[in-house]
Amino acid sequence: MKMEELLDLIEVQLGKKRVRASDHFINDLQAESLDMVHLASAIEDRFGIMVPEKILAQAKTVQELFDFLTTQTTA
Amino acid sequence: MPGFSILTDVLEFRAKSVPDQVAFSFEEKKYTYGWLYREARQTAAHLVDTGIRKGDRVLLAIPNGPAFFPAFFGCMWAGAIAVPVFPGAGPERLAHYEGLCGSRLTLGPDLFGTGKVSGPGLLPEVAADDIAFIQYTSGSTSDPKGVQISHAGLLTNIRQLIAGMEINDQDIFVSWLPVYHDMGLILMALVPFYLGIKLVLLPSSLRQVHTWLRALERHRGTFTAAPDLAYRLAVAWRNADHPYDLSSLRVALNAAEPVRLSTILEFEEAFGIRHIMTAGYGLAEATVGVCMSAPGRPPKTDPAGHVSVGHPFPGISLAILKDERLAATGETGEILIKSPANTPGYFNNPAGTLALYWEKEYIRTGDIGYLDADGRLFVLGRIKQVIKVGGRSLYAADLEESIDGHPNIRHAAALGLEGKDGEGEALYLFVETRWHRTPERAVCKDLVIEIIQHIHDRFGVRPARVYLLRAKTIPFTFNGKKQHGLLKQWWSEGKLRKGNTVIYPDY
Repeated sequence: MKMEELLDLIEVQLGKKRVRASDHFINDLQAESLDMVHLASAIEDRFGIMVPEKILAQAKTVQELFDFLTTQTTA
Repeated sequence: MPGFSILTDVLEFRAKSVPDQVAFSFEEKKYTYGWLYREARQTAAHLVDTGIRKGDRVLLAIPNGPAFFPAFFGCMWAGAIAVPVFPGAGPERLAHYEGLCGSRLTLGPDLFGTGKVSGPGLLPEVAADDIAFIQYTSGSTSDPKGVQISHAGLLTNIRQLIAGMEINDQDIFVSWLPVYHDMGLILMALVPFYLGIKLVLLPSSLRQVHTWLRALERHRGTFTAAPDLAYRLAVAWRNADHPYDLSSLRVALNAAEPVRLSTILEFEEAFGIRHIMTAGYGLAEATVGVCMSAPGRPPKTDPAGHVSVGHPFPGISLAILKDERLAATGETGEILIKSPANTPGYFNNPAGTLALYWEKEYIRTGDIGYLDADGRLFVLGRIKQVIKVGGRSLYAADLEESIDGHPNIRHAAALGLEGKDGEGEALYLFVETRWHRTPERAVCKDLVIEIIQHIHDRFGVRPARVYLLRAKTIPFTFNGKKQHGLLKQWWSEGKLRKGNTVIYPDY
């Protein structure tokens, strides 16, 4: 998975344009916990990667989520 | 005509007193009460000759046109229970209905005018409490339920409709609604027969709006009825250079689907008429009609923009059920109906019948709404189409209405689907686009983003998923009712994916 693919998915899920890796989910993207749950489910459907709830709560920015997801795929 | 206890008595009275009076016209041909009486009696004799006995079910798979009514009244005279079904149904679907109601015979459009005129005494006695016909309810994925309507219930609702809608002998009815379904049959055909007023019947097609508008203009129609979608199509497809003259209209009833204020305002604006579109509410379990807003006045709306469907017709009372108790004024809950025209129950379905009633006197509608301080009803949606997201209740109808107006969107369907993570329901939006060819991904993505932003701004939540669908893929009944249940079934079975119906996104 590439960063641009994740950005594309986040844009579609959250209804935002020009999302950046440094964006903070709550402060910049106004994502609520329910949105994050739906985002995780979309990631699973699109990339086949399960996102545990713990990670979902810990990942404050897009970059942090991306880092988790890429460690998952390379591991 | 308060003396009559069965609708065929009314037909017989007209056939004897005014045999040459036109009962209805269809495709420029006129059909008199004398003709209708003879044909119906012949059909009755034919049914009896075929071995049909009192209480036997007879399926009517007949489209709008002259063949339907002799079959319908013929069944009544023969004491048979007519079961009108969608005539476009394939053999498999017909066999399904035959199995459900145990019918012994199916009448199609070409099976009338045969047999011989029956003499008196050949036909059975029919009592007011006998079942006149069974109306199968459509729209759900589960087996349709057969709503039994007695002769007394039918006449009662016809009288309720006439009184409540103030229908008079000067009215001219114009209808394309299917005669094999409750509103098109009872309100738009049997009411004119009962009163002996003019009925211009049209082929049943939601999409032939010009045929409908032209007939209203030509015949100076005063009364018509359709679901909200049909009025929206009329506005969208009208010829702006040659607007139809609909000034004769007294009532354009908007019912069978959620009524939108925007539809009322846009239709009246487009045709330069005022306060003729009324909002109505009813269901097969109450025979058909329950209430309608008063014509000649502006629509009554609440702060959320819902249009009131008015007060109940004479003899009908409404209540709201909340947590299994009767709710106070203004409280939202399930709409209950007490009416002498309520069904005695579903055919061959004691469990369904038991669940239909609340405290014996009321039927549960499965619709959510509230009564205002003046006793006006506001319908908010189906119980099953309430989507609980993040502790809030959203109505599918409100969500759909909020995005339907977009120039690239034909219709939307909002579904509450089981979330993956035990978070309760998740809001899924299925959006049918107007695009004939799928544009590039970026265009699709922009539309999805726009939809999500709009929903988020207006309702404070984001949908779990938004899927763009090809044009003409959200299922509707022949009656213009959106079939959420069927769409849900298609989605869960993976049928939308397999059929390449989803154009964006691909996960």
